Amino acid sequence: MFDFIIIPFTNALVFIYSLLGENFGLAIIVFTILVRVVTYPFNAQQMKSARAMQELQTNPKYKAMQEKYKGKENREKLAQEQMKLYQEMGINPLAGCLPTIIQIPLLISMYWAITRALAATPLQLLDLAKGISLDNAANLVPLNSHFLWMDLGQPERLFIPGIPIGIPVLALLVMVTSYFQSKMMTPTTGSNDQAAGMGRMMSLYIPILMAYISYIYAAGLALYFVTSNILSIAQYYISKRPKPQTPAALGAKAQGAK
Amino acid sequence: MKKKHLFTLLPLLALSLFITACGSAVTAGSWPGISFDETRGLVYVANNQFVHAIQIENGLETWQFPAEPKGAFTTYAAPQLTEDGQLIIGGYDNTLYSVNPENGLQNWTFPGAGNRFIASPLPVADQIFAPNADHRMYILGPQGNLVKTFSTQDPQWGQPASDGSTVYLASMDHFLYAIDAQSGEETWSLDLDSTIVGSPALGADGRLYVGTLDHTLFAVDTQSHREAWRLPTQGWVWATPLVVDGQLFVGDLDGIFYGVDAASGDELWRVDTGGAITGTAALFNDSLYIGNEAGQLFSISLDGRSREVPLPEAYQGLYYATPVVAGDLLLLGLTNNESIVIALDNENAVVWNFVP
Repeated sequence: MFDFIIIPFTNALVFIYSLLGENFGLAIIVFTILVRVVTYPFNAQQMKSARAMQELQTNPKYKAMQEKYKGKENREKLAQEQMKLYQEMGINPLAGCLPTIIQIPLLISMYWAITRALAATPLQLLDLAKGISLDNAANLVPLNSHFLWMDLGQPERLFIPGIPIGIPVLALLVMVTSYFQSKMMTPTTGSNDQAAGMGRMMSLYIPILMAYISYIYAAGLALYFVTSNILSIAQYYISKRPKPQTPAALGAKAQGAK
Repeated sequence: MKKKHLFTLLPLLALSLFITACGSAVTAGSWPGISFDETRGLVYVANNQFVHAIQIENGLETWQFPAEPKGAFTTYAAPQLTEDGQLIIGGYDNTLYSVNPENGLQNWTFPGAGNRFIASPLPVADQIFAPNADHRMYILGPQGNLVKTFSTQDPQWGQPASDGSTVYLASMDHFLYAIDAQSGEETWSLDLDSTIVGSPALGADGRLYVGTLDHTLFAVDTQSHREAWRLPTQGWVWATPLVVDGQLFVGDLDGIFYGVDAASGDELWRVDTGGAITGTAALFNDSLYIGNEAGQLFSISLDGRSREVPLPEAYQGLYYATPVVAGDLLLLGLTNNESIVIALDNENAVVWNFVP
């Protein structure tokens, strides 16, 4: 279904793998960075929207509206007023959804690109053979799936002497980073806004779901999640920092004060 | 659970299922592995969660192993009979099983491997040579006791070949290994410069014939341990060649089927079948039968005249599996069809089909 994305992803992964000394873990990390660069405009839009929604929570007009239209009987009216306010402030409450929707085919394609590239079964190798267009692919197969303590084609567990069970380190990292990432995107102050409520629920469930996917599927996918989440968190904090004022801007400010 | 929580959770769960379902039309790990037991008149078909023992005369099932689905057990490699009457089955659950072919009951298991048994094991005298994707070939005694392991640098997906005294193993690490069947020690090896996925074929002329993913078919002399010739092919060669009367027949993943002179390595003819070939051709009714990924079955004469064998629509599928000759029937394994094996007679009519 997503072959038009999976095939280029697989080729890109294998190509990066060949450039990075046949290290598939590094290939996933570098590839994730490239994906984040390509999807930067969408992610920036999502963060902008999330920040606008957060700022809205402290807006006096918004608070007054919440107070005025309290109760179930006013829910419809409250929604109408909120929409008006969104329009006034130039906020699109659905703007944050588009990047999330774009992430879904990327996520699916990444899962299958990793699975195909590592080709642990005959049908996966056949899929790889059909999709790969690199000249030296025949000599790269089978790809080395080992990275640190992990086999990237298998669910990850760290076995420590003395502990009878394997610790799913990546799944835990995915949960923690997903939680921080979701929290960043969710309005912080209390609100009975339905969308905000849904957002709060998502920030609880998404980390659990991502951790579960990481727990049961190939470690390569979990590595993609962790890298992507860390990049997303970094992007959020970098973009949140106040921009240094240029001399021209400072001059304009001074003139305005006169 | 509150309704609103359910509305959030359900789409997320659906997404996780969606992730694993969208990438490939075929979700199985491999294709059916078929072997024929002439003594008992049984066909063994390894496919997904079971090995089915099917009566050759009517296609009815005698037993299945395991009787009920068993945890992570799946199997695709053609089961192999030992001289003392055990049926050896390699599992994707990293376990090798010995089963009684009369009733499908388990004799013993060898759970000591680190990865999948993708290739069929090879019984030689009273030992079992079982290559594994964990880069090791496990050499077992008749009761499943580990005698020795033979390690390579990469996974082993091809069944070894043997003349009784030497076992020839191809590995994805580019090497072809000759191993003494008694001691399990390497006697020689040869680097073929590319990944070898399939099994080598051992000709009566003492040569090994094997294809690589680097678009090459090799002949290796087992006496001199040197390459006798190499033939460039159009696609990756995964299939094991068939050797018949000094000729070699093999298909590649570009769908080209070749007739080659085994002595010189000269290409005699080629047929473009239009779909990837992963199986070994079967010689049936003086013709070569080979299927492809496009779901076409071809009958090709030894001098390269080909025709497509029409099959009823109900039996259309992907022909990845190696066809097997069983007496006067030809057995075809199917992928993406509810029947996993069909039996054709001399007229290419379907005599029976087996739906698990």
